[in-house]
Amino acid sequence: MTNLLDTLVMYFQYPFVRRALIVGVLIALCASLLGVTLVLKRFSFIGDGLSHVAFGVMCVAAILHMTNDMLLILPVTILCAVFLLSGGNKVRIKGDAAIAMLSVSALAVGYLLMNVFSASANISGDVCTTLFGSTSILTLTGTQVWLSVFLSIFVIAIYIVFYNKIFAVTFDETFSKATGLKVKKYNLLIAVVIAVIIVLAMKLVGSLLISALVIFPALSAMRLFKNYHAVIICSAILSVFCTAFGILLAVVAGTPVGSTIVAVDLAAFLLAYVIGGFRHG
Amino acid sequence: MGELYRLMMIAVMIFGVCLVGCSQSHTEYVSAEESVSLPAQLRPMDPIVPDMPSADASESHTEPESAETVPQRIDGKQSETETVPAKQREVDMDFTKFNPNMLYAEVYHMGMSPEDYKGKVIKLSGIFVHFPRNIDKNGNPISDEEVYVCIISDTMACCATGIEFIPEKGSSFWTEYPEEGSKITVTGLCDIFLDESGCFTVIQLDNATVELCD
Amino acid sequence: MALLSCKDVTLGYGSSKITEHLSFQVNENDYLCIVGENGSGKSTLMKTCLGLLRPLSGSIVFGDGLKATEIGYLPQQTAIQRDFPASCQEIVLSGCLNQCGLRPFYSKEEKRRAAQNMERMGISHLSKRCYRELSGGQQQRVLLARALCATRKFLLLDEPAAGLDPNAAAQMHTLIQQLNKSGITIMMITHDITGVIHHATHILHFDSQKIVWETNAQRQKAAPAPCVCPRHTEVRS
Repeated sequence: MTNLLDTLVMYFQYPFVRRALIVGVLIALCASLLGVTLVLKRFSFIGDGLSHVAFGVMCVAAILHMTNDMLLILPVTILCAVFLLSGGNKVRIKGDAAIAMLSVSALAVGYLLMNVFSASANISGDVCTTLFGSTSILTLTGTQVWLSVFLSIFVIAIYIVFYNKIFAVTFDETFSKATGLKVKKYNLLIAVVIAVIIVLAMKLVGSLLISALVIFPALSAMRLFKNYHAVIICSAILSVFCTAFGILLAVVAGTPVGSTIVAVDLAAFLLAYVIGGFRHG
Repeated sequence: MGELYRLMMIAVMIFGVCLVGCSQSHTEYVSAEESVSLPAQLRPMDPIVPDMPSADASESHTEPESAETVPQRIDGKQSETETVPAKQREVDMDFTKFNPNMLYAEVYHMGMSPEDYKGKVIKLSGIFVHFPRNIDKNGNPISDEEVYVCIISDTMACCATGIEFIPEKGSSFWTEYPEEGSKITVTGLCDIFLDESGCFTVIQLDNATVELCD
Repeated sequence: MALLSCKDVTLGYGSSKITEHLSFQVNENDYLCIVGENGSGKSTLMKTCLGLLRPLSGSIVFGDGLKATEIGYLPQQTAIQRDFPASCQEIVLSGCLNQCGLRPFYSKEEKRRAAQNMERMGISHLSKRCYRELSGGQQQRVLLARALCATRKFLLLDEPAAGLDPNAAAQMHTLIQQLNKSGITIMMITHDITGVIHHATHILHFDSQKIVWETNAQRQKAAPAPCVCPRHTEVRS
């Protein structure tokens, strides 16, 4: 045990480990907050769909040798999110097929373009890192750290300020619209915020695993608690704890960060499932 | 019965996660190339303690004095220097205990924030490769001068980066060095600069002492 | 004073018309029941009145200074809501949202009103309970309390007794009657005409052939109703 602690203390002296922890926890917190809304609106697959689109755009940015690929990825992902989420009931009818098509096409075309235009010396390495996030959270540049922190704080602030409206829009969009709430605007806000979180989360867990960050804490919390307030708080705490634990575990054991975080999230979910089963009979 | 089964599954998962966390893997190196069996003739290179290097060795590409000596690979010969004990060198940053992922991330950061590492004595381990410094159009070496690199890759060998090291003057390394692919530990004075093209960051360990890892 | 006036309204989606030339008005303290077959346009009418759909032609006007944010609505429940992890109090409070504007949190007054409406609906003891654990009747009462938080004047209800057992349905109708007596104008879509026929002041029949508009008083006196639908000339006696 002391060996473990010594190792942790040793790694903690290095700024990139501390930065990874801070950024990772903030991103996970944001993802879990919006995760509850997504899961309840039955939009869990959006995480996957948008992250694949973000991957495709990242490939295009790499080919264009953009130094700051966020300039391209963020706007395009936001546009896709707006298109998919705030189209209202009309779009939602074809929703899951549209998302599936979009996500798989982005993934395939992105990878194809990367290979054809070979923008880097180690394509499979870059692709692997982007898809699975093995060390990307440990290799953040200063700009990326500040951008992530700023955007995360922005998302959390938005969520707190619009908490009641987001609840109303999640629970009953029809009622909210009928009683005069500007539902379209709030749906748009949710779509933009989700896109931002997904682009940030790509750095933490990679494109393929983002859904886990969004879904698992929400599902675990819903298994344990019965009112919305408690579900949100529990989801946030669970997510922060699992992410922190996952990052530290990955740092000490040398395992890929993204997969470790998701494995811890899964373990927490199973635990919550069992506890929920005992509590509610 | 269903609850009991679920409980068992949970216990197994938690146990598995704890096992991974408490493993001793951080002290071992799991290199992607470990499966390559190294020939038995390889001998450890004896580190010779140099004069303490000055703090601002920021000149690029210092030409080693023994450049006129043609470096050769020597196999199967016992070195007399084996029995001379290595004198401890004062190391500012020891990365030999890092696991591959962390080491890779650390080296990445060396490139990102060079000021924190320039002029420090750094010790790390990786895989040894060497190649000619100058080659013509057809890939043939122009001179006998070689670049010695310590390759650092993450656990899956998905991503890799190289750290050039320049063995200290008078080191036996110039005349005999290990086979390519062997695991080595390099200790040297860190210098970080842009290469001639201005595109790539070069991390170099100057006045380096090299040990072969078992 | 007409709270709601529909003048020559055509309802439908895109190019398909469901109803044409519909005119009626709802006055203060009225209790209007909209009945008819499935697909006849009842829900479309309600959604159009609420601004969720646009009328293909004609006008729908709220009178008496009534704004969109002062109308209460009880929609049909969706599957998502039945499984929602929220306490009854949170759901009822969300009815006050239309008065919050940009203010992020509820005021004490709004919380008091929510508690009052829960009391009115007889669900105060359920305020901390999870919505998904309640029976169908209890869930409807929670949603009704929420609709009351959104308005003091005008309630639109879409099949409030749908899916309820006869007892619960009867209780629901009694509750709505009480609300009407306390001064709230009711406009309700229902399948169960027999349950409400004695409570309603006006009935709007949506039939495949015609729309009948009649008042309860007219039905009782067997006198011809002042028909406001040019499409139809037959009068029920």
